[in-house]
Amino acid sequence: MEKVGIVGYYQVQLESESNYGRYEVIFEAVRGALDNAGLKKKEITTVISCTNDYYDGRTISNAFPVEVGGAYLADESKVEMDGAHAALYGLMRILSGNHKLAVIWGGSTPSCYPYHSARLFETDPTWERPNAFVNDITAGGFQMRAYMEKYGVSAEDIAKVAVNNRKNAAKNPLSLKEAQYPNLTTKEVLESGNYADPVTELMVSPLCDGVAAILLAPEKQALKITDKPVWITGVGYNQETYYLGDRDLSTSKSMESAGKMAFKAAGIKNPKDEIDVAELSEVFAHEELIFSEALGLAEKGQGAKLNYGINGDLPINPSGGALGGNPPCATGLIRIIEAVKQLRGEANGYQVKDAKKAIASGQIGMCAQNNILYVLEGGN
Amino acid sequence: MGRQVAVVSAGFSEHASKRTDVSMPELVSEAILDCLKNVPSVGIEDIDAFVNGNMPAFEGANVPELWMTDWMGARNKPLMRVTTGGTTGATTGWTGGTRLSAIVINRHPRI
Repeated sequence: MEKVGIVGYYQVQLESESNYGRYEVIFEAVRGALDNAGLKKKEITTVISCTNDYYDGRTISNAFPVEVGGAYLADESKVEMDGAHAALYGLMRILSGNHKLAVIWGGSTPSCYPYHSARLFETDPTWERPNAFVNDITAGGFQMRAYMEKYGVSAEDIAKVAVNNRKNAAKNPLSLKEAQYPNLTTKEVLESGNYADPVTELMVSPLCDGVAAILLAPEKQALKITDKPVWITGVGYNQETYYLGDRDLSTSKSMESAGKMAFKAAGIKNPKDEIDVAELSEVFAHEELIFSEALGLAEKGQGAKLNYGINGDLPINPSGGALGGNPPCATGLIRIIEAVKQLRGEANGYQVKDAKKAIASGQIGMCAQNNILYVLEGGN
Repeated sequence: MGRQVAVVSAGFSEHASKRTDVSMPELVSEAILDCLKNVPSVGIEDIDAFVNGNMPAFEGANVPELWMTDWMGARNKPLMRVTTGGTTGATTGWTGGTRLSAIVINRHPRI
């Protein structure tokens, strides 16, 4: 594969209610990414945006932010999944040989719309939607219960993930302020509000406004633009079946397949030893454990035994992950950006020592039906 | 222009002003089956990857590509959805071409 590099990035400050308009947030992210790489708007050849019509509350949601996203008279398209999937289309466009600089941006402002109501439209229209007890939060409850029952994992083990990530978030100035807990205990997590038993409030990633953007360029251009490009060496993406009752929620088949595909492309045989840092989109605390097991970082049911702190054997979500703020359509893209920061040594306050290879993931659907995984490598 | 790609088959569902006899995924499966019927040498097991184009806000189901997964034959296979309003159809075809040009499909070890 021709090498494709991430040459610039920007993430806006995550806020539960940003006090400026959504176009301004998008402009800040795209302008910030261009400035980060020292480039001008005229150098953009293609823009891939990621928004969701339901989350935006309007149809054809990519038609409106054309100018602020840098897409005026550029070859623009929209992937309506997660920002990490939009980056995949950007990667394809660069690899096809048609483009030299791709802007990928994704995000939304859930302070303006009822996110959980919008997600009701993601449930099975015939069998699940009429029964109002199936929604994105209760589905997370089914998933956590299935995982705990199958492998005998305790709620404390899962609460520890929330503690770790929210403590990490306190070190990340761009994470959501309300998600930062520098002195959190597992007891406080378990005793926070009951969302969908056994899921409690602090185990759920908090919704927030946010937009992120990255720039992709082919090898030759990337080396001209920056002396610190981060290369995409592998991508895998996959989804499992739709109806929740047909799925084994105690594991993640789609993440397993995505991992196999990405690791094969990157020539990684033993991810546990070769990966230095992981940024996984965990909408719920237990999903981080399920994902790390699906990726072969731990045996099935043993994810909680991993030493996943910032100074651990395999740091997972040193930035705080999605538990440090979950802006729909940007979360996966932010994971990529956080992995890039680690590889470039720019993660001030939560830097993992000597990070050379990183993985970053994004997800969509109920109980992460669809997952995408990137393998990223630093150095030129 | 990168690697050249060709369209080898196309398929349609049965068109009518109101298809009250099928659901949205069933309508999609009609088109997929028709498309495969036109190239007898290709089976659904030969398909490496899928591109879906759909306007979810027009029909009342978000992330429809996940709903249609099994009806497209896309379970456990790479899938991406593009959504650009009235241009979605052509965008989908172009995305499929770009994907092949880039060889971003399953069987190639380097992405």
